[in-house]
Amino acid sequence: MTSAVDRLRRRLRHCVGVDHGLTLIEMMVTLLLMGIVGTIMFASVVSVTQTLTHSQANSDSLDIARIGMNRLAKTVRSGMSIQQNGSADLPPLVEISPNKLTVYASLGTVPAMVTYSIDSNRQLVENWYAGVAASSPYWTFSSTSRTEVVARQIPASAAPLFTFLDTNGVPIANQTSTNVADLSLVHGVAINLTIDSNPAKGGGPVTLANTVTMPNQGIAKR
Amino acid sequence: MNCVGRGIGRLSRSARLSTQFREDAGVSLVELVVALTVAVVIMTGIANGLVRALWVSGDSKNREVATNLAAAAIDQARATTTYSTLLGTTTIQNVNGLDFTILRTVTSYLSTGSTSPCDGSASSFIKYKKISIKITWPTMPATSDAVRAQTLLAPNVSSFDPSLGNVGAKVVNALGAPVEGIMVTLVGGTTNLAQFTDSDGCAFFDSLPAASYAATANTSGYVASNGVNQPTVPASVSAGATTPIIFDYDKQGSFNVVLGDATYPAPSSVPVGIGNPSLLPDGTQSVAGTGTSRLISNSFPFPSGYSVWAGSCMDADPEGKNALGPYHPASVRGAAILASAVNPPTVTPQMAKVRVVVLTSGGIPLTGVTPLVTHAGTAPCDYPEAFTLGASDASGQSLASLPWGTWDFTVPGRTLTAAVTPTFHPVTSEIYVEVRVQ
Repeated sequence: MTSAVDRLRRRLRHCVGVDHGLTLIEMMVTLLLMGIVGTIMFASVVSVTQTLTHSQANSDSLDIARIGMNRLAKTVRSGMSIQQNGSADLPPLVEISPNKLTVYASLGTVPAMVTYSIDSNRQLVENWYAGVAASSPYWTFSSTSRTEVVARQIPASAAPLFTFLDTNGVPIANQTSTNVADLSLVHGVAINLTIDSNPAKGGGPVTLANTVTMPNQGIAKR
Repeated sequence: MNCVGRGIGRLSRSARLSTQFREDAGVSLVELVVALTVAVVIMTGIANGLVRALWVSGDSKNREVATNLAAAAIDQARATTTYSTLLGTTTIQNVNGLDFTILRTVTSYLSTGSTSPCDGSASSFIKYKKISIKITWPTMPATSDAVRAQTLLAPNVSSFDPSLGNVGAKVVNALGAPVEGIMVTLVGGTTNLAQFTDSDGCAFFDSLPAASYAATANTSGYVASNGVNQPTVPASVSAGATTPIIFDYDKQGSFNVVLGDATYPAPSSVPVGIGNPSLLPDGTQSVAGTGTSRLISNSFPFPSGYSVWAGSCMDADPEGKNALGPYHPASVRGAAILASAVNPPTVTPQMAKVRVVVLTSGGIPLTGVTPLVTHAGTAPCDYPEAFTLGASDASGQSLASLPWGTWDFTVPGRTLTAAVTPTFHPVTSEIYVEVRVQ
């Protein structure tokens, strides 16, 4: 055993020699290579982080926009007229403006009056005024509302949220009105929801566009 | 550094033997390079994954946008008040700085249940319309599917007006297969409608007042079987019925024709005759042109191809005939050639190889005279045919390739001792013609 180790040691010593340590050139080359590897690693870590942040911001914006758009489209699509006693029926829309809309919606067992508006924090807020179940002979609505934020982070520079269209798909003249004559012209609502969930992260705003017509403009009778 | 090549082996050995003695030889260059390579491979994989993740995120955004646009397009189609004019359209909408193309196609389904309204019976009426929305955008990869939405629309009551009729225009190619995306216009009275054919080659116009209309297929690069680029077919609509019309319409094909050869040059203005039983009115057509190598374009790509010969006269066709019988008994046309839109083939029709010798009445050759040949005989010609041949050489000879048929040989400025009007029947050998002048 010993002789075998001796033989190996001799052979190795012949090959490697004694432990001379590192030469200056070897150390410089090693340092240089480690520098290159380190730089590449650092750059890729930064790039990965940026990409993930960017992608996350974009994905957040898309999620918010999707949920908000679904809510808006569903409510507007179920807009309906409200029958009145001794006067013309109320059109589905109560109030329109580029960033605010109030509609009578046929959602649930009783109709509701729903308002969507952008508040000072640039959030899309839904105010839900439930129909009074005991109202007689025609529907009336609660004066207090259930408030819910359906989308947030709408950039101040975003295009108008709502555009109100007539039966030919052309924007009506008065885009801001509570006048029944104007409201009766509205047949569809073009919705442009822009969300920038985290402007600092640079994901960029996401816009969803939809045009919802109100096919069920039936009359809610009591 | 003397044993660089054995670095890795040495490392493992030194690990095994480290209890006995220490060997601190550091890390060799090869080991570093290997480590670097491994690192680069891993990082490339990570980078690929990141790019892919980014792409998926962007694509999912675009798909969400497209889904909303599709919903809007369906809403818009369903809200229509003019059911009969609900036709296919293409619109472009810009969202997030990207142009989304919204293609709407409308397919009508008939009460008879046939797959295409153009294939239905004349008495059938529209049961419902299928609205298909297809949304595409420029950054969408070719391998992924477009966003699609469909809805069925039943006609409103007024659509069943018994005083109105329909036109079903079907477009088929040379093989009889339906052609998609051909624009068909229907004009008549105050009606002026346009539609693209669907995947069944059908453009269906419904709820038309009973009247006479003209339907025209119109797509650049296409030709009808009669050689017209924008063929028009009359359509007479009667109340409560569907008028079927058919367009034979396919991509323009072409082929090259080479006339004569170096020894027997053909006159440059010889027309070319083409034959196919489907050509109107008699299965042949003549194409004028100049040059001995021509491209015959704008040809309907009949699967049976075209027979080609030189000359526009009836007796230039090897199978030409009149009421009395064929001009060239037992002769047949050359092999047919297929007109192709992509790779035009070349055909060299057989012609009469003529050796004209111009002599004086005394038998002395005339040099430098140009014989004139004029088509003679009773066979009608699409174009007047008279050609000046090349000047005669020292032995009074002039060589030329001429179409088959009967020809009158003259020498301008000279009087012939006797008229020379030979008839050339299709043969491969040289034909000798002697012209004697006074």
